[in-house]
Amino acid sequence: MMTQSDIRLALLAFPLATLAALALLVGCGPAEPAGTQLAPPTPEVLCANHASFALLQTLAPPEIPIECLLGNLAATEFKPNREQLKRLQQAALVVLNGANLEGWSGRSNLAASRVVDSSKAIADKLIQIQGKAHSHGAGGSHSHAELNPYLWLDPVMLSAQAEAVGAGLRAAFPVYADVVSQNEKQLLEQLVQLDQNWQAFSARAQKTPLGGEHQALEYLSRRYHLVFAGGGELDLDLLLQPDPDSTIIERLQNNLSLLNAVIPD
Amino acid sequence: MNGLAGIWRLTLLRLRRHPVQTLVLVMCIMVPIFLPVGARVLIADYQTGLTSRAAATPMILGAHGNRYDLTFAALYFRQSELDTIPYPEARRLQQQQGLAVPIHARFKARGYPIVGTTPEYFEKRSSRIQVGELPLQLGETLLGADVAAELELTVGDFLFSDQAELYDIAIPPALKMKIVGVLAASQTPEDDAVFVGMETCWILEGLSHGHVDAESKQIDPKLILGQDEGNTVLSQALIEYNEVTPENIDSFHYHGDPELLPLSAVLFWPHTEKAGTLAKARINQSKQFRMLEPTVVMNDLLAFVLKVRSLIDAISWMLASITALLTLLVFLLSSRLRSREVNTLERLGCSRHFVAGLYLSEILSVLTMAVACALLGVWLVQRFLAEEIYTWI
Repeated sequence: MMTQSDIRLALLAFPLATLAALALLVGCGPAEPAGTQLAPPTPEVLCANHASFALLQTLAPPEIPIECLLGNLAATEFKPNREQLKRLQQAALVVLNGANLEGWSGRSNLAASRVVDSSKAIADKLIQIQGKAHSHGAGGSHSHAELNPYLWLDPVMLSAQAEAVGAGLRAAFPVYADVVSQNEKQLLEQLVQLDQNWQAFSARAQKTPLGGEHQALEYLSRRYHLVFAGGGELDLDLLLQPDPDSTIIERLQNNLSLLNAVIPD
Repeated sequence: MNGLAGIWRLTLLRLRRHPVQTLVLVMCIMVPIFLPVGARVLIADYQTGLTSRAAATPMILGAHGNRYDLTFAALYFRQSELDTIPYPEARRLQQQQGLAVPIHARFKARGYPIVGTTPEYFEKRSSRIQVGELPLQLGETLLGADVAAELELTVGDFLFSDQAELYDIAIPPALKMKIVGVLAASQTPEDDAVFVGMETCWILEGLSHGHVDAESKQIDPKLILGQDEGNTVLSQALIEYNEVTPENIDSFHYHGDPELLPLSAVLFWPHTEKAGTLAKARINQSKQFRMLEPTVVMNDLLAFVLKVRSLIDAISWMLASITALLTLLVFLLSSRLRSREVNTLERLGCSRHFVAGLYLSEILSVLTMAVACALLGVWLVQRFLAEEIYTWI
């Protein structure tokens, strides 16, 4: 037999059911988001070759942290570990030399909008290394031929790289855009002067065989019609190894001085 | 027992005594309430979902064709028959004062779309990582929350891409991808997707692969068909790696023209309105590709959905009117059948007000139950069937 309290409960049941349904309908909003928010890009510029690092040292103001991840390795030997890959993925700017020097970059998932391939705009001017391509089956498309990565030794090519890196720095660090532009302008002027010096040397050398036969010298050879052959005085280490005490212009000027020593006035 | 409690008690007893009649009445009244309310709630949710996702993506670059296909491919990773656009278009768009994020959604893994994109995508979507990290290299994958839950996979496990063609040996084999992260649930299409880097998509497309070095001594001489002008011609029988490992990752390389690497779409976030207008004008004038604003496309789609809602509303009103008339008829007929019961109540000393209250409480009880059932039904549909309904729409 139903008691009075049962009846009271029953009286409340229907309105309560309606209210509960309404509460479910209205109140079940999205819960607090789970998981970890992705970290924002870190305000640093990373690269993995000495030429790009030297460019960055010249173009970027000291307030922008720049780092070359190479350590004691050559750029062609460098393979970033996972921690380094993570840093590269999150960096505000990654500067690549391109021309296949950083082969790892094509196998890494980097933030494309924050990567500057400094030789992309002059890809059609890069020197291909013969004998490295392959294809699958008759009529199959070729694999990409390897490219000569030492383009920075050519002042004209380096100018194009400097412009690309400058644009990347301005986009990543708009606060320092004016300083970067000023540094870039100065560097480009110096490179024009250096180009003229090389041209003058080229006129003097007149296809005289020079020392230091190396793939790295092909860009200079092509630009200034120089003939490099083994056995000379040219110290390639000075061309290719980092020198923290001198700027990129000083190092390139040193190359010219070395050759000037080979062919005196 | 006071009057009101008596009315409610008698009402309850009567409803319990005639459960079938009560149930039929509740159901009849519930349907015209459930239909319009349910439709409005679901469509409002659908509208919010569509418009918020579209609004969060200002522009989409893609091939000419059905604009709904393009929008749904870019925002919801739906596969379509639309043409692709070449990858360098993303780079060109990037130079237009904005952020361009490529989307490649042409393959599947166990039925879920494999979405190739760059890390900026997750930044723009404010994605959260439940466990692990974003893919860092070739062959790595990040799972949406629902994919991970459904397939019971987590970081360290592997997932194979679906084989595009079983009997064509020229098509690349299924790729074994290593899971390096799982996204937190977000009730968005990201939950049901498998994310990889763009480079992994090129492997799936067959434009990039890894194998023994063409110039190494490990290669079977029978597989070298010839050599000419700096090019080694290898047999197509050479087996490609179907998994990227630390040992073979360096052997992966591209074939063909990098300008033709295909994309499903490019999402574009212009830095300024002017930059967006200029980019849109440049692309749409060139006629080669198209740039569209997803909000416009979604509003057009929603206009159609709202027409459907209006139709449901109209049907519901008709249904409600008929139900109201039928319910009235049921109660009138019921009151005639219950004349002896009323006489008995009057002989027991119950007033006419009491009898009227009895009828009213019965009607109110049935109405309350119908409303409660309708709202419960709406909640259940919203909770458990909404996704299926949205997919159907």
